[in-house]
Amino acid sequence: MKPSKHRDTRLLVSNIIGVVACALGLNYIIWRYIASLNLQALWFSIPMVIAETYGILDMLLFVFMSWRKPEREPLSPPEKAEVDIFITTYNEPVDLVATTARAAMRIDWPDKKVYILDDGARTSMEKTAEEIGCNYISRGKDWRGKPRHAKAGNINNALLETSGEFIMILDADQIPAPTILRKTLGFFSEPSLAFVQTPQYFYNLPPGDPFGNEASLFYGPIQQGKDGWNAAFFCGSNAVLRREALMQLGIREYVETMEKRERETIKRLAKRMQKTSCDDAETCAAVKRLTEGLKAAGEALDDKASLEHVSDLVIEAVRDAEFLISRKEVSEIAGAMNELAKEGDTEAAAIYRHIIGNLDSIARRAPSLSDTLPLRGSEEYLEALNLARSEEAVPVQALATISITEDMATAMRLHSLGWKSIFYPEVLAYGLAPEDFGSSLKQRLRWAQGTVQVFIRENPFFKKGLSFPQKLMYFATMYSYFSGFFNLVLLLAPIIYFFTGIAPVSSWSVDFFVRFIPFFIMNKIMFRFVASGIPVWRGEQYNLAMFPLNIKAVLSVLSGKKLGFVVTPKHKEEGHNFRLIWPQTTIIVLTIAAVTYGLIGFFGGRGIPAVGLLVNMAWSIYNVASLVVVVRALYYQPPEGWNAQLPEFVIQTDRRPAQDDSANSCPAGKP
Amino acid sequence: MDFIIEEKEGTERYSLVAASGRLNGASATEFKRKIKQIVEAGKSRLILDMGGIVFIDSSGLSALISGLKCARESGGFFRLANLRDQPASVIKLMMLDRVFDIYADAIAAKP
Repeated sequence: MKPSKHRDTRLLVSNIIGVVACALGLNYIIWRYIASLNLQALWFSIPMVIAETYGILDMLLFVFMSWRKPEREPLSPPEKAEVDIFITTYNEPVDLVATTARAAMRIDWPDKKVYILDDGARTSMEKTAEEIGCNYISRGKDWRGKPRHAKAGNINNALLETSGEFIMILDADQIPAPTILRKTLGFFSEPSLAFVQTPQYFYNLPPGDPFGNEASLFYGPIQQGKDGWNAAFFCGSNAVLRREALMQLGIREYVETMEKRERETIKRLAKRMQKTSCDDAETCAAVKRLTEGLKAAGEALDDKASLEHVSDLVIEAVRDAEFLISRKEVSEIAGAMNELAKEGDTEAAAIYRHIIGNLDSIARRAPSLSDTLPLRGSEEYLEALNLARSEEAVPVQALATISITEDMATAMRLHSLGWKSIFYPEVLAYGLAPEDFGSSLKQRLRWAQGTVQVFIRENPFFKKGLSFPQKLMYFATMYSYFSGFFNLVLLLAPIIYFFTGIAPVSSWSVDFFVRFIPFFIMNKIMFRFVASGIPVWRGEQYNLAMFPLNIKAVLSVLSGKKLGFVVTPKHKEEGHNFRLIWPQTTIIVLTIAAVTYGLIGFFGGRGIPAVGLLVNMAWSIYNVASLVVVVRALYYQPPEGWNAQLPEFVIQTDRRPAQDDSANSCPAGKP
Repeated sequence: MDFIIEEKEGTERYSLVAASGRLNGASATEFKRKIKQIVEAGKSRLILDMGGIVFIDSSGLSALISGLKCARESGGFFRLANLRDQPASVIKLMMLDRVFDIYADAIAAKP
């Protein structure tokens, strides 16, 4: 068979398995709702059936995602294309960045410029960049005192200082293969293609991947599936992007933000005018002038006048109102001078005459002292109406800054503007995964929080311009981070059963088994078939075991607390912090206690039916077998003599000074 | 020379700036620098005659926005005039006609 034919057959089989698994799943869950809820214990059976429904929907989304997998063969690259290669860094070791930069300099493409974007503004980094012969950018003084927006801000800043037609983004530790541009640039012959994402591959995973960092499922079947619906995700590194697409995104966002802000400001000021009372004719005239001005500006905005024009209408009204108030105040001073003059003060008389003679011009120049009206001195309106976005260092922000993980939001905005994306599955860059459990958890938490943040602030279902499958693809990923609550229910269920004898189903009957077991088995087969050889058990373990982290992520975003961008540590943190795994350990201990209690009860002749005992024991074993992964991870020590190996092409071609060869085997700073 | 930008006329009420060539990633920095220089010299009421600009891309548009920011932060304005077809259609496509005051020619743009 030809490879493509083989692929087609494989996909067909995969789809059939998927459909069967979905049918069995629906068959099971519908039966659960209509015929098997334990009505005596709704407090238990309802959360349980909701948790099960969550799982079924997750499976449906997965099957839909895996429905088609486009074949991606590199196309011949254009003859000429300027590429800017951005290496983003904040506090990673200079050596680590240098290895990446050297590899970037060796990429096989004539028209490229390599930039180290150093958010740490380190002189040592700048010096190293010079030695390597690449460019160095750090934030300028425009950014002083402004929100920095972490990595997104770093890239947005560099976008405005460079000009290549394409941009390749690399994290500090992602060593690119020399062929990376030749294999990806060809795809851009499609003019509406915004980016090509390639996999993140980790060359430092310890044997057995104790921390579950292996990403080949995501950068394989999952991204390929999303690619099938033109919804491949941009993942922040190892991707080539079209500058035009990014800039367009930034400009659109600028226009929309400015328009929204102007509308809100006018509304707010108008409201304030309504509440302002006036006691004298001049103040009343000023209020009237402002009110009219705001009304005219609002109407102009609705009539699609330019924002500059609308701003000017407001500013003019403010100026006029200020003049009216000022004139009143100046007249009052003149009045006081006149009183003094009447008492014989000749100097006051002169001032009086001067003021009265030049009343208007003085009033125009004198700033008003009034604070009853929102006048020129009040910053809130100036900020909003100068179209300058003064609170930000750069007005045009191509990369989304709404989330601590900027990549997903950026990709979604690009897709919503009609741009296309491609996932090209060949590994073309080699990076580092966190080398200890604590760091790995920090990274997971950041992803989870970032994803939930995007879900809340830019829900794909309300995003105009996305196709329905694209919405589903984004939703599927966001949805998966809500699993913590449902997994907790699944973990507690057997414990509750053993201690109380209460089951979430009305009975452990034949009806239950004929529906549940085929579905369960088919679901596992389907997942493994789609994964096509990539180990999935570690991922399944972590999926269940990460329930505290996922719950924390959702709650922290919902609570509205400000979330910081944590740079994933690229070095090993020492020590075992038991606090990291107390929820999982508690569940393990409770489960073992519950099983023991159940067994004693069963053999002591108390209540639990044998079937219930067996089902819940099997369930408990599955739960514990999954959760122990974090215990193992916390106390994990790599085998004696094991070291991360840099990819061959780096070792062979890295012409580093001899005294500095330590980085060849351990760029993560391991001894 | 691909891109030229110069101040043509400076009065108290406005300054006329004319640009010609391709306003793109390569010339955007020069454009921003020049505008900043003019505004810092106290002239923030600007009219940009774009009659000579034959091509503009997103980086160029971003430079226009920077110009607008610069001028308006100093209490002035930044008006566009005399647009050729390509810049006009790109500006419309990106909805920047929603932001900028655009005039048929420099005379119409004068306050």
